Amino acid sequence: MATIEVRSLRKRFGAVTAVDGVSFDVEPGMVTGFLGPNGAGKTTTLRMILGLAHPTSGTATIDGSPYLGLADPARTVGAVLERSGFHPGRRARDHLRAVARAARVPESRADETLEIVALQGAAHRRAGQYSLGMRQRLALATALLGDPRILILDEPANGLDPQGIRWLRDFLRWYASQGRTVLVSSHVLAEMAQTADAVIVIARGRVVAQGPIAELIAGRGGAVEVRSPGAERLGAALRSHGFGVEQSDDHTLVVSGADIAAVGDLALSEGVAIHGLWERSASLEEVFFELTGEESAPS
Amino acid sequence: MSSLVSAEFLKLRTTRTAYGFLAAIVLLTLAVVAANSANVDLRTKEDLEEALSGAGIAAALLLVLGIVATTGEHRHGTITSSLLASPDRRRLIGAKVLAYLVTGALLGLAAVLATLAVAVPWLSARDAPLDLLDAADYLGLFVKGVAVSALSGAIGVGIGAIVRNQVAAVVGTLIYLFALEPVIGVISSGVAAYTIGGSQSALTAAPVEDALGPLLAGLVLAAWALALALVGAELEERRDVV
Repeated sequence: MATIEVRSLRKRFGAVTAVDGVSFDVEPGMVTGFLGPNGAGKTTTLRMILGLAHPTSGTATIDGSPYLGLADPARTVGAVLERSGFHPGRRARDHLRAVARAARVPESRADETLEIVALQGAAHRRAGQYSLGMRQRLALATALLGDPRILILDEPANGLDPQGIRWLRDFLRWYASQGRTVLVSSHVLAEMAQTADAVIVIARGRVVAQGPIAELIAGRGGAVEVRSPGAERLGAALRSHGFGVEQSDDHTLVVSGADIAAVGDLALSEGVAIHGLWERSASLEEVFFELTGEESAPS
Repeated sequence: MSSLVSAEFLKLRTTRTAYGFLAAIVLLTLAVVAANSANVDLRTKEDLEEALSGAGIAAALLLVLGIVATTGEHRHGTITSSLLASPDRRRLIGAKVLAYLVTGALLGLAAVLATLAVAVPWLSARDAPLDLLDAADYLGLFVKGVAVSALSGAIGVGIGAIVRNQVAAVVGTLIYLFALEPVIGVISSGVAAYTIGGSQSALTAAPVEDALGPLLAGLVLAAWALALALVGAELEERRDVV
């Protein structure tokens, strides 16, 4: 059973429809990426799942209950949102102790979660002195206070250095491997391709694709690349058989709609030598831009 | 609910804001007491009560503290983790009201004690007729000072829940108290007695026309605290948290 179920979720701000009938399930035991360009409605959707924003219509449930109806929210869901903040004058450990108290979680969890995110050395520094990366880790520690079964993170890689990003990736994979649910939003595809098992792609407030990453890529038109000294002649033959052909350099063709065998057979019948022949699968990035209608990568 | 109130106390104790307010309350109160004791020729019991009532500053500053603490959650973005930990917004506002009632009472007590500690020896050195005041009068000073401070803290929470923008809430409240209420007083002193500032003044022995009796003033102030908290909680419940 899915742990997070979103059904026909819609949110309007005045004349702007930020989220326009979004539905998806998030399953336990894997990392689910929530992908979309900036402004696609990711954060608004997450805020509605977490009861911070009220949907115009539709529902979002966690274990079958809306967030506001959870008996023990902190032990069920931990979340980091972009606007999660800290009082600049409060020490990191005190921030965690205060949230732990409100959540009825033992205050010893403050030290434990600081250790998980490797901030124990900075536990007594005021949050105002923290770098952006440290703030991200403190926000994650806050989310982990209740040792929750579900983690929801909004752009958690923002502000992390490369080591931090790798650490986060390993942490999320480890978290999901324990049978817990991890939902991570991002607009950075390369990051998600290495972290997520499944993705939900959102653009302009609508879900444009969802499923395991492998399926998503496989379902999109791959292509065959062929290198041949007779590229022009082979290209003409391929075109006459109805394949899409693009010449990428003097000797290389990208053939869409064909498989390797068809290209090889045709080359033989045309008497053209082949120096290379291989399949090229679409990258998640290509699929993403195809789905969201974005022209070029923003980052 | 008790865990929420205790979380509020922890939040309060772990920034320097509350200590700053405590220092400001004590110092400003002493300055006002010194000015009152030095300038006024103290002859009557009312003169003495006015000189010894140090809670006026405390009440005004506690109003601001309540506002700063409540709007600070939105300003610093801590409202997100507060509400994720405990999603019922009415309960969160309720816990803040209770926490700042108690905080207000404690800081009000500090203000009254500081006042008496300085003013009584000073006045007796100046041969002011302190024997006009009996134990019940001193008790009254304590009760009124603590009550007005406690209720002012709670009122600040309500205002902060209604107006989330910290600067707008603080500045708006100060404009209301020090510019708008005097205008109300000019139009009708009877109505002005029931305003927040009017009922605060009745409890801090500030000389105002048509002042309410202390008990009624306390009840009026409590009604303000309750009404503002209810409106604030209802608004917080309906609004999105950004």
